[in-house]
Formats: sequence, structure tokens, C-alpha cells
Amino acid sequence: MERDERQWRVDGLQKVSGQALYVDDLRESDLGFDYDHGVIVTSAIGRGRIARIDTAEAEAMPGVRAVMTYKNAPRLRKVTSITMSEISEVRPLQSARILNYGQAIAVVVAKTRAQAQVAATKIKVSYAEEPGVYALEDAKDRLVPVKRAGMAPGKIKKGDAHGLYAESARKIDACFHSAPYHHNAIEPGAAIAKWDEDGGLTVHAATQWHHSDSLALGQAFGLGMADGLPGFFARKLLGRVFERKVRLHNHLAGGAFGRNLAMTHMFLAAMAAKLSGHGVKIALTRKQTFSLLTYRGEVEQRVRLGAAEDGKLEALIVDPECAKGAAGRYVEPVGSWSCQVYGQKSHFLQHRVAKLDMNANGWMRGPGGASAMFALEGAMDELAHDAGIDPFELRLRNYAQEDSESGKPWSDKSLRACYDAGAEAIGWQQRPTGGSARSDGRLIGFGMATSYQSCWRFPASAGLSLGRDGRVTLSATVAEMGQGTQTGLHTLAAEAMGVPRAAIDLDTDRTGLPAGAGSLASTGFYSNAASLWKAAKRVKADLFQHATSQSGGPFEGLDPKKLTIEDGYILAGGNRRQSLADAMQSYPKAEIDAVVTTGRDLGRSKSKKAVFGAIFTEISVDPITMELRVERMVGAFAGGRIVNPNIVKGQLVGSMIWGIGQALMEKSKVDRLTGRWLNAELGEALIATQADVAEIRAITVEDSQPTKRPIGIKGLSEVAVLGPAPAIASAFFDATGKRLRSLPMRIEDRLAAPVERRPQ
Amino acid sequence: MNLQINGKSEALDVRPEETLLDLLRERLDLTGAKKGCDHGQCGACTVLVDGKPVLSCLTLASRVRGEVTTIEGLDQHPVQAAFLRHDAYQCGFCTSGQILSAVGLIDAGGATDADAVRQAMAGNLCRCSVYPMIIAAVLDAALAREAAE
Repeated sequence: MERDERQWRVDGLQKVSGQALYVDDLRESDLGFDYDHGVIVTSAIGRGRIARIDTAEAEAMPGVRAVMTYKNAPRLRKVTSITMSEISEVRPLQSARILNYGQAIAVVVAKTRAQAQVAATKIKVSYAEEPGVYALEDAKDRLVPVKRAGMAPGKIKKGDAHGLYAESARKIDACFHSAPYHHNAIEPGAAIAKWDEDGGLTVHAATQWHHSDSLALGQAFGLGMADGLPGFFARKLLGRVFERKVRLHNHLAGGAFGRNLAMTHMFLAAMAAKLSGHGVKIALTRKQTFSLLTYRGEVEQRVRLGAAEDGKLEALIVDPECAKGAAGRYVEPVGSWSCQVYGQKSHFLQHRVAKLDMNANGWMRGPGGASAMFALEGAMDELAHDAGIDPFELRLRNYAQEDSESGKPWSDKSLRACYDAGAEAIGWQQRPTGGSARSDGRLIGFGMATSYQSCWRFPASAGLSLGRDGRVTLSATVAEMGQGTQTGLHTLAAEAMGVPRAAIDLDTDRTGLPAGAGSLASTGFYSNAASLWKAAKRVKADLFQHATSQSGGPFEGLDPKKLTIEDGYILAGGNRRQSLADAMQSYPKAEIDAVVTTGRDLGRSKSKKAVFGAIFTEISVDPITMELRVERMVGAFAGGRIVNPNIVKGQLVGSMIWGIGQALMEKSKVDRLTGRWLNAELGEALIATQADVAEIRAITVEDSQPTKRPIGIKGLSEVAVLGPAPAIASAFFDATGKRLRSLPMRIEDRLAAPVERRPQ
Repeated sequence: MNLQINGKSEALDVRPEETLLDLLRERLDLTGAKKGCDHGQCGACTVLVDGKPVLSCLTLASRVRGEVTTIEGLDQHPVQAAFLRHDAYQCGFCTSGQILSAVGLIDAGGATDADAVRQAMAGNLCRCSVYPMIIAAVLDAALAREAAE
């Protein structure tokens, strides 16, 4: 195969040749230890207690080593998860209590997986059932206001929104609903654990945030100071390093999208290994991923817009009602998005949360925003129609140069350029009248929506070393789940050090390496890039110092600041050049290295940083059956400097297709009587397939005020999830005059919706 | 029984309920074929039997009569190169299945245009959603093959 290193991902060759190893692919020879197979048994009621659990027959089955239930499972200590991921409250097998349908109630450990699966069917359970509430519509009496909704404040307020709304010339008052749905990564997920002779715990898993999950494991199993929060603070504040007893090896994830954080089966594998005294591997089934992992929770929002005659927003009132699991703290953080996009005079938002007797929801691609923007942009489209203003023009009239929530100016905001680029590419100004019929009789509709994603910096450490052979190693626990962070950092390391990509090695997968930032809400790449960039600067400064002080060397006596590195050679103008390997021969140590931590201030500054975008789409609709096709979709995004165009394109296109799935099909259906996920299969919980996707184009727009910082990177991924659903809803209204305010907008919903368009 | 896998003959004691996927993964350590759903709904377990794509999770190993090709059996195949060139993968978990489906489709002369590929490969789910890149890669490989013939 021809090599084109500019294009390929670091793991590309392994992935196209089937050699890339995911956790369930690891064998004893890869791990260096033996393991048994654990199979999880789950509850068949939604709420109550286990009255009796009989494991005798299962224990007597061939190959069975142990059966773990709440009666004999190791006790877990309190966990404060810094990601709010739900091991903190969802500690499995600690009591007879059943909090949700499909909760883990036992793990059968056997020599082979087939033996464990057969034995698992022999466990007899009887329950004391209690009534439960499983859907938001049945839980209205449980709604309570909250102080925090994930990373968003529970309540957001500016001015007298209710007063201004009452006096507004134009009013929109509409209710939007988004169904729960699951990440449905194609890899169901697996974990392997073994207890070491020194009392340490070795775990192989695929986690989005190595550091956070290491801490959670350390806390849960009481593995001493170094592995818990005190160790975390000691490292961060005092720079002290203690021996770690949690040895977490991170592997490729076959998709994650927010769910691979503090996953229950990772803890169960460690518990089962402790009980059986042997290594244990647990792989989830597809069905189990629905109730043992998280999902995007159900949200209902009443949105009120008050506007002047010309469409300028006076008041924005949002009342999000969010469902949450029976255990767990995570709530879909609707808040910040709704209030930050436009320049409204006043706003009021109060999250109210209802606890359902369901498994915990959690982070998912476009957390908060995917629900928030559907409602906000839907209401904006209604306002545009009500005021007789082009939806595009209405956005321009409400354009804001500062974040309305915090009052801080945007550090750079090129949303206007995104609007222009997207409108141009789709042909917005020349579009036919909504509802025009094509020659094949299908109705045409155009729609648009704004998209936006705040940037939060997270603390990240990275190590960079330059060896005698001139090769550079970047070490940091950075996860790779397909988003391309490792490839992006690899590209950036080559740029920062001035060497070809082929000269960079990555070391990312285990405890003991500098703690990289997690992959959360599109923050991973730039959080990690900052520490990498700074480490490269230090290594280069050290190298240049050495090179210029080397008597007889080509750079003797020169100002170290005048040196640069290009293509693996140190240059100093004129003909003076020396390869890194040659320069390193005289260096007193085997390598130059630097370990740097950045982002301790969480990126706080006087200005706000965000990625902006605009989605435009053309759809066609069959006038009789309401069958809808997305004919074309264009997204234009401004997200700082692009390090690796391939990775960015992959993220943006993939995210837009996620948005199409959210718009038209994705819904995890819960049985309101039992709390069981009814469509817990990939063939039934629909996701977009190859046949659902037509022409998708992602355009990147340069930021108007390029940042003065050398890297200037933002997170270009999830921003593209947020716009497609409202843009498709807007296009569907344009084509048919029917308003859809509930996600997903399936064919039955499109048929049932009444025509709301007023005669023109 | 004897199974022909990637050009090798494997003498195996096959359990009646054993699927081809479990046999490949758990007995032969050929882990390129993935278990995404175990119900024939995701396509990640796709392998070729006599050049035709089959879902190995729905195929009983004892019923296989023919030459099985897994991703490990492809050697620098033009479709693999096209997937690299077009960045037609992200997490990589569905990629073996995508590539083998594509090889089967191209060999059968079915990769005639984007729409044909779109319909034929709708059974290979990609949650990272690199679908447009997969189309580009498959068409590119199909064209290259046509040119070579």
C-alpha cells in the first residue's frame, strides 16, 4: 500500500487490516495473564427488591468458578466521580435493592464465555416488586428545581424576562420534546481485571478519561491515597507522586460518544476478579448496553420568545424539564446554550428535574446542546414565520457580539461568515418557494439553524521527549475512540517539534504517564494540545541552549532564540544545519524531556470562547406519505485553526449525520409499565445507515480575529450535531406547513401533525 | 470438520450451536470480525464465504461449506488502501465488515454508482457515520479495478 502520512490516522493501518485490538479482542498472550469470562445477569423488574436469589444450580454448572451477587460481592467505597458519571451512586451489587430494569444483579464467572452464558440462565430470582415511574410524562409531580444541571447552572436569569415577555409585540409560546436515545457505539464494550500480588489492581478497558476512571477505581476499592482524590490534589497542587495501585491500561474504543466513563462493567470485572482470585473479562451484550450504560435523557422544554415587531428578541424564557435516573446526578445541561446564542434583552431559565426509576443518563455527543438548540431554533423559526421575516434575516437581526449569559465578549465569533458560507453553498437566496412541487411531485423545503458549542479548557499534562535517534515521543493518557485525538496530537507534535510525522511516537495507554485531559464535549484535543505545545517549547529551548554552547558545533556562540527546527534539522540561517540525531549525540543525557501541565485555570479569561456554525438543508417530502429525504445538507463552521483537515472533516460530517439521526429516527422506547427498554437492539433502535445519508458537506470558515496564541485550536466536532434537527424541522415546515416539536420526527409524527401555516 | 479459512485448512471440533463468528474469534483468535450485536443487525461480523459477504454471527460454523475469507486474509487489498486514502473509518470497529462487504460488492460488479453502494451497504452500520467517505472509497476502488481490467 502506498504511504501518504499526511492523510492517514496513526491507527489507520491497524484498523483497515483488522489488527487493531479492542478490549474483547485481547487474549492472554496480549495481557500476560490468564482470565475467566464473566457474564452479567440483569434484573427483570423496574423497581423493588430481590426477595430471593438462588445460585446453587448455576454454581454447579461445568466450568463455573464463581457466582457473584449482592450477598458475596466485594463492598465498594464511596466514589466522587469528577465527570459526574454514574458509578458514584450506581455502585453495583451492593444491596438487594433494584433501582431500574436491567440493573446488574449477578455475575457468573466461568472458564469459557459459553459456559458462563449457560450457567447464567440457571440463576433463579424472585422479586418484591414496587411501582415505578419510567417516563417524563408520568413524572410531572416529581419535578423539582435544581441548583446545577451538569456543567450548567440550574437557573439562569437576566433582566425581567417575564415582564418584558408580557409586553412584547410578538410572542411565541411552544413546547418541545426530545426522546431519550442511546449512544449505540458499534462496540458493545468489555473490561478485563486482575488483582496483582502487591494488592494493586490491573484493569484493561477503553475509557474516555483515563485519569478520572483511575481515580474512580482507586476510590471504589480503597486503594490508598495515591489512587483517590487526595492523590489527585497532591499531584496537582504539591507535585507529589505516590506509587499507584490502580494500573489502568486504556485501549481503542469502538466508538464511545460520551458513554465510556466509569462504566459499570469495568467495576464488575474488578469485583469478580477479587472474588474469584483470578483474572476476569466481561463483555456486554448489545441489550445490556441499554440498561448498564448511559444515554441522552428525555427533555421537555416550554420556550417563550418575546420580540419587537422587527423580530428583535426582548425576552427568552425556557422551562426545561429533564428526566434523570433513579441513581446518579447527571442531568442533560440544557441551560447555557439557550441563553448564549442571541442578543436577547432578558432571559430566564430554570431546570426542573424528575427522577425516573430508570438507569442513569449521562454525557452524550452534544451534551445539553442537542436538546437545547432544537427547542430554541424551533422557536426562532416560528418567530420568523410569525413576523414574516426570512429565518436567516431573523438570525442576523438578533446577532450578538457578546455572550448574553455572562456579558463577556466572544474572543472571536465568525458566525456571520458561517451563515454566509452556508447560505451561499445551499443557494438560500435562490431557493424555491417552500412547498413547491418538483417534477416528480415531491415537495421541496429549505431550512436553516444556528449551531454553537462553548469551549471549556480542562487541565492536561503531557510529556515530550527527544531521544538520541532524533525521534520524539509524546506521552500522555489520551483516549482514542475514533474521534482522532491521537492522530491530531501526533500531527501537532510533528509541527511543534519541526519533525516529519514519521519521527513521532505516541505513548498513551497506561497509568504512570502524564495525565492527559479526557475526551469530553469536544474539549480533549485543545486541552491536550496546550500542554503538548508548551512541552515542545521547553524541549526545543533546552536543545537550542545545548546546540549553541557546543564548542566546534555548527551553532556555537549563536543566540539560541535564532534557531529553528524544520524537517528534523536544526537551522540557523545560511548553511548551518544539523540533524536532531546528530545534535543529540553530544547531549549529556540520553534524551531531553519535559512534562508540562496546563489548563489549571480551566481556561478562564476575560472573553468567552466558542465554536460557531450554521446548518442549511434542502429536503424533499412525498405529499401523500410524508416520506422525507434529506437531499442536501451544508454545515459551515468557524472553529479556530485546523491542525489535521481529515480529522476535522470526519468529525463534522459524522456529527451532522448524528444530527440527522436525532432528527428523524433515534428514540429508545421505554415500557411505561415496567421500565424496560423495548427496542434494545441495533435493528430496532434506529440509527442512520448508509442509505439514509445523501449529500453532506462541511465547510470550515476562518475565524475573523485569528487568535494571537500560537495554537489557536478549538473543538470542532459536536457543534455539528446541534443544528441538523432544527434545520430539518424548519425545512419540513417550509415544505408542508406542518410544525414538528418533538424528536424524533418520524413518519407517523409527520403524517399526524396538523398544517399550521397561515395562508400567504 | 475441516474449514477452509484464509487459504488454510483448519481441522476443528465444531459444537452444533457454535456460530462462525464465535469460532473465528474465540477458537482461532481471528478477532478482525467483530461482535457488535450478535443478531445480524450491524454488519460488523461480515466475512466472505466463497467471495460473498455473510453475517458470521448468524451463520452456524457447522453449516459452512466453502472458503472463508476474513479481514486477516486480505493482503494489501486495493479496498483497504482506498479506505485509508479516503479516511473511511474512525473508531475502526465496523471497518473489517465494511471492507469485506465492499470487496464482495465490487467483485460481484455491484459498485456501479453512489446510489448502488448506498443501498447495498446499508446493512453495515457505522456509528461514527463516515458513510460519505466509505462511498468515496468503494467507488474509487471499483473504478481502479475496472481500469485494471
